[in-house]
Amino acid sequence: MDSPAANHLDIFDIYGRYCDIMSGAYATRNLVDELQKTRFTREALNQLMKLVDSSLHIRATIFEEVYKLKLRLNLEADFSEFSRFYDFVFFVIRENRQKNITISKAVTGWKIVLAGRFRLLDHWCDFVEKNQRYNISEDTWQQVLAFSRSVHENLEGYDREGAWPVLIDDFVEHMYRIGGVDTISNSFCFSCGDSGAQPFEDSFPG
Amino acid sequence: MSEVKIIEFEEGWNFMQMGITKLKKILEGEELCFSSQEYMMLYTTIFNMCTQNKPPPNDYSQHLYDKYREAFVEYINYTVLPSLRERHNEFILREIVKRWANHKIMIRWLSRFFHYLERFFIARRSLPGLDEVGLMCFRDLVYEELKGKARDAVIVLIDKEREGEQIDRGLLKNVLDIFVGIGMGKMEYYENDFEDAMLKHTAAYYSRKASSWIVEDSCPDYIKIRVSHYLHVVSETKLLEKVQNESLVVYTNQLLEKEHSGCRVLLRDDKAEDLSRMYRLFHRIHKGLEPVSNMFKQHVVAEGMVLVQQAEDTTHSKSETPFFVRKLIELYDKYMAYVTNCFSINSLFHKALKEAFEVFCNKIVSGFSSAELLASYCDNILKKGGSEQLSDDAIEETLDKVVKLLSYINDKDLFAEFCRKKLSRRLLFDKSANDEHERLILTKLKQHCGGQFTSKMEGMVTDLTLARENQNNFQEYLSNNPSPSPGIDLTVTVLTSGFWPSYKSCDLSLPVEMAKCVQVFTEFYQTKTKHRKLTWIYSLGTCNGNGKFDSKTIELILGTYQAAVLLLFNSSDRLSYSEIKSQLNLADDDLIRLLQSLSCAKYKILIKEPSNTTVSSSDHFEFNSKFTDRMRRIRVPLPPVDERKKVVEDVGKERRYAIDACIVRIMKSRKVLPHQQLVAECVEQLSSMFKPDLKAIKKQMEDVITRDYMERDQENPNFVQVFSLNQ
Repeated sequence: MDSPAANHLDIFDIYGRYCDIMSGAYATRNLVDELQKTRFTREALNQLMKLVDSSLHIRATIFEEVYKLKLRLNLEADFSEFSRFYDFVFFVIRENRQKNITISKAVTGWKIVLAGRFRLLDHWCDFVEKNQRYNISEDTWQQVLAFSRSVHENLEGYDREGAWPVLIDDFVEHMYRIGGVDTISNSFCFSCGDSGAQPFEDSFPG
Repeated sequence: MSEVKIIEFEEGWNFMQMGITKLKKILEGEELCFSSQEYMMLYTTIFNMCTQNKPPPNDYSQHLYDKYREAFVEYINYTVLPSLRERHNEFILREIVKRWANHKIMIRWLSRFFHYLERFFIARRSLPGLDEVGLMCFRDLVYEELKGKARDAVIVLIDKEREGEQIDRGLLKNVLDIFVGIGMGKMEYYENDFEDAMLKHTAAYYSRKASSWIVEDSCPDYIKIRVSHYLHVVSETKLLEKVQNESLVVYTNQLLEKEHSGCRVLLRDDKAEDLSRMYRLFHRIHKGLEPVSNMFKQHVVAEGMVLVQQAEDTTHSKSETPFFVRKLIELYDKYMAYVTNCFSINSLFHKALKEAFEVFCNKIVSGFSSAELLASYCDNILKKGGSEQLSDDAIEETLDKVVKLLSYINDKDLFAEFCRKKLSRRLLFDKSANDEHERLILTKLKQHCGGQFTSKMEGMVTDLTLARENQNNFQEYLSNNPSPSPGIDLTVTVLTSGFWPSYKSCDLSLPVEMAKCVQVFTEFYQTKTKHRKLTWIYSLGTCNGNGKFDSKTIELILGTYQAAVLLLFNSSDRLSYSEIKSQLNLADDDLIRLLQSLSCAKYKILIKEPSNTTVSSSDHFEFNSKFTDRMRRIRVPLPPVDERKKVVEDVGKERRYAIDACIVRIMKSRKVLPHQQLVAECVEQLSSMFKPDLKAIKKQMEDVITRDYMERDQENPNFVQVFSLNQ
């Protein structure tokens, strides 16, 4: 990984490599070597991360890059593709190999990635900006996608006993408290104009 | 033998008829009897009439068999029934008993006369035996006609007895034997013709009587006696059930809710005896105690809530809080006594009591959690001059109760932390009234909550003993080495930091006198061990010093900080706030508190300019040489910092560690678990110390996930598994 190469790297290359690493890990999932595979994947991701960090150009305009990538990818058809893209966004907006991302980055990221896919997106981002004090962990990031898929605008489908992160629990509580569950569906109608607003009905892969 | 004369039927039967007539006379009470010759003749006649089988018409077996039955029928129709029909009530019962007895005699004799029939004729044709025919006659003719009348008569008698009259129990027993005997080994007749009706009647009777039964719990016992006297034994349980059902089950709620005698009222008015009666009554019924224990629980909760409310209304300062705990203990004593005495330590009531206490023991009373109140109460008992003046025995007993109450409190860890805080005060400021009592409570807590619960506190008590020893060594060291004398009397208490609550230590610039002391002690301590780090907690120190005032010298008992402030005035008469601050290197809030205690409180050893009650950074201070007091020795109090918030925070932090450790421990052994179960196991494992809330557990779980110790299952996010890298 020589640094000159990194300067030529664009977001599409990075995403391509990311996909290779991830699918390599998943496609040949083999119980015997799973431990090694996980290690290998991790190591590869770390290398990739170093590369991204060294490319100042990408770092500086990361959100524009992500948006460009989103426009280019055909994400409507296949949820697993989108899911990978979603995970990638967390990976790529993380800085200096930190484990978590700041709230403002997370919110910006969600607004780009989940636009048209999460009916409560505006409420969610508002809530997180106002109430969350800590950084967003990868687990929370991933669970937000699952939450956006399983919950309708009236919060139907949310299971209080489920293993949702506390931030999501708090959000649901907050929505009920502000009595907004009904009004949400109204405001949702506006964002409904977006073609991508249809909920995904396909199931998780494998 | 072929010569034997054929006996014509008429001839033979006439002879038999004579015998039967004689038998009837005997039954009617005439003093006659059969001689063995007569008996032989009768038997032989039958024998002959059955065995002369040359021409078939001469075998009269079938004929005789019919005649045998007719003999009974005739006797019953002409003699038995008429005499029965004219009798009623008890008399019909007596007559039936008599007739039944006679009938059995008749069967016995006749079946002997006709016995030969049994040998071949009956056996070959599988006809009912002679005994059976006799019984059937009685059953079909007498029993079927009179069973209703008899049954009613029996029930009337039983009713009479229920009302307290004397009745002929022997008679009843005999009548009921007929009901049993007529079944020929089966209980159907008894059950259908008598028992059913009797049970129904009993039910009706007791349901009429039910309301008056409340007080008379002895009813089931009473019935038991009667059953053994004359009812058939199988009826006993049925009857008991019936009575209970009617008088209790059906009326349970009505009984319990009754306005003047219901359970609530009994509890309210402390009718212990009635309550135990109620317990005895209901404990026989399946699930009968549940409503009672529920009411018990509700009652105790209500009482407890009244206490909480009372405390809420009257408690405005901490000093009044022992009142609440004392009341709680009284309440516990009272209802524990109920459980023991009235409810014979039934687990249902134990549980009810526990659940009830858990409700109001976990309420916040005037801003104090009961964990804290309980800890304060203990402190009051254990410290010198506390408000609870008790004898040794009473102290032990009270401590017992405290530990019991503790088991109802969720936040046991909070209690432990407050206890530790109070214990440290007692130990360090020599306020503990009695060493034995200190150890006593620790032993009790250890028994109830485990060794971990008290290990730190035990360490503290031990520390103090060691510290005393250490001090002696120090004295010895000083007397052997006169050169490093600290210049003033110095007592140092060396503690193990892990056992004690954490105290703020700050870099106070000590006055030279004190710095010398520290240096001397440090040198001494290094001769003992080199591997320990000494941290000086000045905030816990006390200094006795002489204040030389114009009128007299007064001994001042001060905190180390206070003393440090005053020592500055040995070299200058007047100092500004900022001068003091820079010389001592103290934080503002500490310094303000110190100066306040010296210049604005009861003893004004310093004169503040301007003279008001709050200290600000622009103030100046001057030594008050005019100060005096009627005492020769005064303690200058330093208002304590409110430590409650810190304790609660510390406990919160400890809890996060505990939950964290708990999750990791569980996952280590289980590898993969559904989220729900992990939460449940956490709650279970931690419940001996506190009741973790769901959110706290979830937060820690997320934390553990972020730290890559565990991960969500790829396929089912509701499952968590140990992260593979760390396996």
